[in-house]
Amino acid sequence: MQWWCTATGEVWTWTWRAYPGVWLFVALVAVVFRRFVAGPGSWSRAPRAERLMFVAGIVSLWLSLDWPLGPIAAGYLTSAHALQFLIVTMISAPLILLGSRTGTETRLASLAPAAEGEGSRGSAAVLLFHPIFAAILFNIVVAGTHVPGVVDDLMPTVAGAFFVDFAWLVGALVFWWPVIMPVPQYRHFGVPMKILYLLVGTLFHTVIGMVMLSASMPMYGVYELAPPVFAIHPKADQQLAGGIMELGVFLAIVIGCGVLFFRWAEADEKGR
Amino acid sequence: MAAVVSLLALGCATGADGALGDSSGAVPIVIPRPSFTLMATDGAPYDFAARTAGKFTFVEFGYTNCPDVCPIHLANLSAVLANLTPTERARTAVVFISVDPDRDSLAALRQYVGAFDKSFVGLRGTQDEVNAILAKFNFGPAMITTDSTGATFVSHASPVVLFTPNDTAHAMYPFGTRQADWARDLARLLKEYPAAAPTASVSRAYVVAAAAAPSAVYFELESSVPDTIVALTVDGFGSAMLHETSLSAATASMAMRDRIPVPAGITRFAPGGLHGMVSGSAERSMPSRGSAIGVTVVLARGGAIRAQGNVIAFTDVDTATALRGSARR
Repeated sequence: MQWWCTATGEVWTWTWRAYPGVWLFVALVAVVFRRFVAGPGSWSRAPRAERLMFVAGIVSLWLSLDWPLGPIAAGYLTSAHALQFLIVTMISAPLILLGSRTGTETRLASLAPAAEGEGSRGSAAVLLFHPIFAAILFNIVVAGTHVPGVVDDLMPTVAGAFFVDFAWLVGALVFWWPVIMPVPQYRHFGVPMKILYLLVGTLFHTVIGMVMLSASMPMYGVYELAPPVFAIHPKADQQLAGGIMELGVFLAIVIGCGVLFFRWAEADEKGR
Repeated sequence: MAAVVSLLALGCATGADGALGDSSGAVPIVIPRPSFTLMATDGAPYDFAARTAGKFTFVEFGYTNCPDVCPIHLANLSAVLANLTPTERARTAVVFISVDPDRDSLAALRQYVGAFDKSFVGLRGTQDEVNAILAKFNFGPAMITTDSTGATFVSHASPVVLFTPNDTAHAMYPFGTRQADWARDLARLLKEYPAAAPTASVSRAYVVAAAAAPSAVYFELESSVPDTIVALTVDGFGSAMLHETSLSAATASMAMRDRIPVPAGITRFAPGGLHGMVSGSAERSMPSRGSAIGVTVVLARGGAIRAQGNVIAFTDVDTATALRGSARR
């Protein structure tokens, strides 16, 4: 039994393995969001669709981190690593936020006067939700966790592999927050700005995907020297990962932008 | 953004300077290309030395059921060689020698190596034959054990040995060597060893018959390019060292040399200058005066040069060599 999925260098088998750290972490994320972000009682007040989105977000997070995708992504296939990244940052994080709106919106609204009245303390409290800060933080996380030396050093250790997954989730939650959760201080951050934010904010994904697609050799030693899985060559695996980064993230952002646009159009129609 | 691209590209960076494999953890070695014949996957005997002569030859010992190191090495080599030009590719060979002949039939071996690259050569011999070949590479024998459940475990030397066109291996690559490492070293070697390999020859080799070891070795070396002598061996002697005698005023001093650079042309190893010293012949008596004896000079670029020498008496040194005082040219 191992705490977290890491690159072990062991030959891959389809024998199930327990990763209790993953279960604990996913449960902790659920508890933190229900108890401390949305607040007590928010679950019963939330519409059914919102509750379903929260469950889908938590389940997708669990499936992406646990066996079999977790260990394959940690130490065998770059493409699985990219798929895991896509699920955590583009599916789980927005779904968890969408599933936590009831309660969280009320708490954010109550934060507004306090923030305005308390000067720097209030500014610091909402800085985390500022779109520019969120985009910068997310892109630092995305770029930093895809540098070959960083990946090769972190993935073989429990702490390192956990840090990468944790950074992805936190970075993605911060990134999606300004789009999904209305922050009173940033009311001017309307739908057109949100669409622009999503398109520009994921630019580094495109760069990373392009590098993976065009690199003449495998970038990550941990995957290049991993025991073979599915008889896929390291370079082809890396190109597949690049494709997942390019197309997967693009699709997620297009869907996100589409939802934002149609809701905006719908609201505009009702307003008339 | 440029900084991110640069950071991402770090994993593919290749160094321009430094020794062969110095960043890949490759181990420097000097092994002359060995001679042996095993059965190839096409069903015909494969004379290794003859078939791979003059080629960059990657040799890997492994087995088809190997779950990790063997397929990773072969897959990475296949990917690196695929990036070569057809001319460069024609100058390379990959030979995979099975250490598990009981389970690796020629058909299984053919299917296995062919899955990586159709040009890869699979060789199969008896366990004793393969272990004898492993010894020529200074590797220990393969160990095959079966546990109580019937599972078979194979323990064998995993580094890939690379021979250059001068019929000498200069480095072996352990597990952990990446495609970028192979590509960088191969690119450097392709430049260092252009299609026409340098030529070298050894002649007028003499071993002085001494009543007690050590004995001196003299010879003439002719090389078409500047080169470096990295080793000297004389048949029947356990060790051979390279020495240089320096004369100053009325005293002579002798110093051992690990490597001796030689210019293009003829370099003479003669009394009073460069020479070899052999010892360790206790297990057998000194060959008799006038008998033939094999002398091998290993050059960094020119590879292993073998010559037939003669055993001479100490009193015949001047007559035989006729070179006193002209150590190098």
